[in-house]
Formats: sequence, C-alpha cells, structure tokens
Amino acid sequence: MALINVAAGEINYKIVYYGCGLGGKTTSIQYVYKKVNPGIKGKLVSIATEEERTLYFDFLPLTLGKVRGLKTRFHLYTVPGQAQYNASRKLVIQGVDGIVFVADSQLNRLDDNVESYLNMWENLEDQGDSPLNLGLVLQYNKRDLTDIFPTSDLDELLNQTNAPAFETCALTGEGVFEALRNVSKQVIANTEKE
Amino acid sequence: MSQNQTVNEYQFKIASRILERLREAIKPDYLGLVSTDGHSITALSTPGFTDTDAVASLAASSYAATRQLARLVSDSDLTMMFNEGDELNVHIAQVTDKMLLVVCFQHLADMGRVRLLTNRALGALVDAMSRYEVSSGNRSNGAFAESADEAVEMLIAEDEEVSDGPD
Ligand SMILES: Nc1nc2c(ncn2[C@@H]2O[C@H](COP(=O)(O)OP(=O)(O)OP(=O)(O)O)[C@@H](O)[C@H]2O)c(=O)[nH]1
Ligand SMILES: [Mg+2]
Repeated sequence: MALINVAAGEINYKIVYYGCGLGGKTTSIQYVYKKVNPGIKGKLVSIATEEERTLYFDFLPLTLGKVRGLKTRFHLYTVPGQAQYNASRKLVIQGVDGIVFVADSQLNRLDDNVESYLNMWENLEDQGDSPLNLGLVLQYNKRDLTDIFPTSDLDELLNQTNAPAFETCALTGEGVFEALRNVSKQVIANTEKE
Repeated sequence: MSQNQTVNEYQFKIASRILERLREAIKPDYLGLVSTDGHSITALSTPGFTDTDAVASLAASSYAATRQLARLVSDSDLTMMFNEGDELNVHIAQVTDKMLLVVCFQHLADMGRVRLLTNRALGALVDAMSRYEVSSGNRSNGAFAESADEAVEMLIAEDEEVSDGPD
C-alpha cells in the first residue's frame, strides 16, 4: 500500500526482505547500502541483538528524486527471521508493497525456508494482503556454498507464485541489485493498477 | 493489494498549518506526521536535522510495538505514548487509523503547557483529517510507471566509483 502525498508530491513504497533466520536478509540490505549511489540513500538503521541477529528490523530509505513531478521513495526493511519473533514480523510487514524473499540455498535449511515461506503467506493474509497481489521476488542466496539445492528444487519448494527468482550471494552482492530492481518495478506497476 | 493511502491537498495544507503553529508554541526538536507504516508525511525539525525518514520509521515501529504489547498484556488499546528522558521527550499520538503525530522536545519548565498545546493540535488534526478524507486516489497515468522504471534502472544500481558514501 503505497503512501501518496499529493500535496507534497511524494510517493512512498515499502519493500520488505523476508526469510528464515541467518538467510542473508541483513547482509543483502547492507550490500545495497554500501554500493548504492550515495546521493539516493539515507541512513541505515538496524535494531539488532548483541550477536547481530535482527531483533526488530533494518531500515534503509532510498530516494529516487522526482519522477514525473512525484518524489519517489523506496523504504527497504528486513524482518527478524528467527521463528520466535513473529509478532515483530507482523508489525514490519504492515503496509508492505513488495517482498524480497531471501531463501537460504543450503540443504540443511530446507525446513526453515519452507516454514518461513508459509509464515510469510499466513502473516500477509492475516493483514488482508496476498503474495499474489504484492510485488514479490525470490533471492536464492548463498549460491557460493557447496551443499546447496539446485535452483529447480528451490523453485518447486518455495516459488508457488512463479515469481522472478535470482541466484544471489549477499556477501559479494551478486544478484542483489537485480532482485531489488525487479521488485521495485513490480510495485510501481501495481500503483498504476489500482 | 490493499488500497494506497493518499494524503490530499486539503489535509496536507491544514496539517502543515497546525504543525507550524505548534512548532512556534513549543519549539520542538522534531515535529512530524508519520504514517503508521513508517513513512514520513510531513516533518518540521531543527535546521540541519536530516534524518526525518529514520525518525518516522522508528517512531511508527516503536508505537506499533508498544500498542501490540498493550493488546497482548491486557487486551487494551493505546492511542498515545509518552516517553520522558533526561534530555528529550518523545510524544506519539494516534491521529487517524493510519496516521501518527510525533513530537520530540527538550525538557521544558512548563510540561503541562506542552501537553495542553499538543493535545489541542492533535484535536485539530483529527478533525481536519476526517473532515477532508477522500477515498484512496489512483494514478492511472502510465507515464509515471515508465519514468519510474527508468529511474529505478539508473539509480538503484551498484556505484562502482564510490563504495561507501557519506553517512
Ligand atoms: N557464504 C555466504 N554467507 C552468507 C551469504 N549471505 C549471508 N551470509 C552469512 O550468513 C550469516 C547471516 O546473515 P544475515 O544477513 O545476518 O542473516 P539474516 O537473514 O538477516 O538473519 P536474521 O537477522 O536472524 O533474520 C552472516 O554470517 C552472513 O555473513 C551468502 O550469500 N553466502
Ligand atoms: Mg537480519
């Protein structure tokens, strides 16, 4: 649900990185922060535990400047992936326009990925949204590791909506911007549809 | 997708005027209208203060968390939050379902007056927002999407020159 401020000429979109704990959501948003054009980024705010696990969210605002007279902004958030933080996840996804689902490609993270994907679906439906109507892309992350699923398996397990999927390595940033650009365009297209 | 939230000209103008008046009266460090989703709608702050996006995001989420906590603990609703610090006070109040008033101000001798004026402004805001509410606006102008896509391509990209910009 984009926030359109007609008088101030602003449009704001919210994009949330979702996925299981340790999957690479924070690393992805940190990479964007590090590498994006400094002129468009604001401060990266992280609410995390001592051990650098996300406790509430990471937040990074990007301002594209004026597009057809509208100052266009994307606010990127991550959720805390650990299962016990579901109450916080629900708050972070309020008003979300697009989701980047970050899956951990490692074989031993299968259950966590599936659980997180279902949890996302459930939380969205609880707030009257659906992954079918929002912008959605998948990052198949940690492709640099060895014990990982082939992408075809991940597609079958985690991509129920046939969303665009990107092989990524959040550590080196491979694929991260491609995924972000794709979901950004989806949410823009959705504003027009309404 | 749920509907876009639109702030129209009337709402924005009246709200800006109310905030301006409150600012003159209590000289806060930050004064803003924030969507419950964490977007800044309009903000007045001391010169040089630029992190209004971060403030909006943090204020909305801390309010949402505290409100949810109240619901869980005692099934009660909370429409206002007042945090008193050694130096700074943070006051957050619900204006509409989707909008919050956030005031951050230094300790003042006359806290009662601050509360009174803030509450008055809040009342005026609630009134203005509901009076001029219109259904969600839509922008069925394909040109926006096209230009926005171009901006995304150009700007959301790895900057090869600079690996870390100024904070
Ligand atoms: N090898 C490898 N490691 C990665 C990759 N992405 C993230 N990591 C590592 O995985 C660990 C967890 O990454 P985070 O980004 O903190 O994970 P998260 O999804 O934010 O986790 P929560 O905050 O608990 O939800 C860190 O040690 C990262 O360095 C990747 O693509 N490849
Ligand atoms: Mg994290």
